[in-house]
Amino acid sequence: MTMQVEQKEAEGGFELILSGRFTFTDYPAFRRLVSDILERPVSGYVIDLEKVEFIDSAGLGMLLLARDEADRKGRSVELRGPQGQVKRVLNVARFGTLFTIRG
Amino acid sequence: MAPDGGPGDICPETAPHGTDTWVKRYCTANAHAPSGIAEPAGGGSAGDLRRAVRCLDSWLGLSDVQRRTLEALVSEVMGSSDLVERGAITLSDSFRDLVSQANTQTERVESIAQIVSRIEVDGELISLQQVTRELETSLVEVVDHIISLSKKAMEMVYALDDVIANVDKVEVLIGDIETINRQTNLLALNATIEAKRAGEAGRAFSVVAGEVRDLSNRTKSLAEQMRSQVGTVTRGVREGHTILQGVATMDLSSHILVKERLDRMLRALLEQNEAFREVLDEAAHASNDMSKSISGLVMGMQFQDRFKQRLEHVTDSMHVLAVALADLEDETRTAFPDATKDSSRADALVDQVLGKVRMDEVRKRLIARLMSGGDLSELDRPELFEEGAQHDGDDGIELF
Repeated sequence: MTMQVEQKEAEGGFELILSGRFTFTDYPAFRRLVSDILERPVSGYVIDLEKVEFIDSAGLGMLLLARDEADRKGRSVELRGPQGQVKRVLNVARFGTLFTIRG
Repeated sequence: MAPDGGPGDICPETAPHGTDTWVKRYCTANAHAPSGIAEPAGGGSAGDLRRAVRCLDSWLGLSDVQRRTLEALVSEVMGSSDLVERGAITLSDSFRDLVSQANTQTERVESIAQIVSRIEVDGELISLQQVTRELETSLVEVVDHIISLSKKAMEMVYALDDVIANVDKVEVLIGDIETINRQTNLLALNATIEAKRAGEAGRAFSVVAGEVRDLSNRTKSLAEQMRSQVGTVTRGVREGHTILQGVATMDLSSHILVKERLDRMLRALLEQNEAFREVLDEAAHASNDMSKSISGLVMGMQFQDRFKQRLEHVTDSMHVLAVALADLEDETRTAFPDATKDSSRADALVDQVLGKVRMDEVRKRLIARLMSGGDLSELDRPELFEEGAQHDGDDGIELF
């Protein structure tokens, strides 16, 4: 089962809403949407992880690449609402020191 | 003086009436003494003198017993005082031992806590918290490496995707070349046909058309080779993809479990440490309280000093009395050389005194002192009191 990626324009900027399992096979859609957002004139965007049930190291790698790409273009990326396994993985990987993680 | 019985007859209330009255009363009473020597009352001066001498005899016997009793009591009191003093010293020493043992115990508990919370690695003492932290640091490093590797693999995947996108473009270009080449080949074929029609005049043109067809065939072959090469590249990239997927994909669940377990272990160790510290604090408090209480006890033992001083006053006074009695006995003997010790009343007094003494060993010492006229210094040795004390410990007080 692949992850669903939804792009949404919100008050503060753009949001990328993910749901399901975030693994290697999800890279084409994720990469394309991240690139799309960075084409727009926004200062940054939020990746919503609330509905993500599972993430593996490839998913973490993709989040880091998204952050690198945003940095190169002078934009910011925030993570929001990780739950369960995702929250625990982000904790073990100390993503709190690399990202702003809300809720 | 004894409140009842024979000697009570020597009642001090008669004293204010003068010695004569006292002597008369006493000697009248004495007329019924076991000695049985009776004198008619109101006899002549010789009779008075005999009665007086008999009174003196009784007095000498009584005084002798009183003096000996006083001396025996002085010795008894001093012996008891010594007993209490030695007991107090022994108790104080024991209490001090208790304090030092309590302190030693606290130190032991402390050293146990130290030993339990540390392990020795390569000659270095490391706390268990430190061990857990090092494990956790190692785990975090491993996770960091995994994620860093995954990130690089994904970067490679992105790059290979870009390569594939470019290769796709190359394939399109090859297709363009092939289309153009097919048209070129067709043109060359047409040119050959037209040259044949022109006959001799078209011969040279026919050669050129043939050359063009050759070129076209070579181009076609080249395009086929390119297509084949591009296919190889694409297959290579796809294989690389699969490999990179294996590199990038790792389930970190086990790492999460290990990390969370380490966190729990660290918390448990900290709690254990805290518990140890509380126990140590309690032990230190208890030890301190014990020291204070025991110091109080040792202070309390100083009652013995006051006790001893008071008893010394008592024994000094008794001694003065004994000496006064001895002096008076001597004076009496000097004044009345005929006077001899009559112990009939004294014996009754002895019986009464002994009747009050219920401890067997004290009785034995008193009897020895009262019945013997010899040297009694042996009886005052502390060992006798000590043995007696131990003996009493077994048998308690003997009832008379």
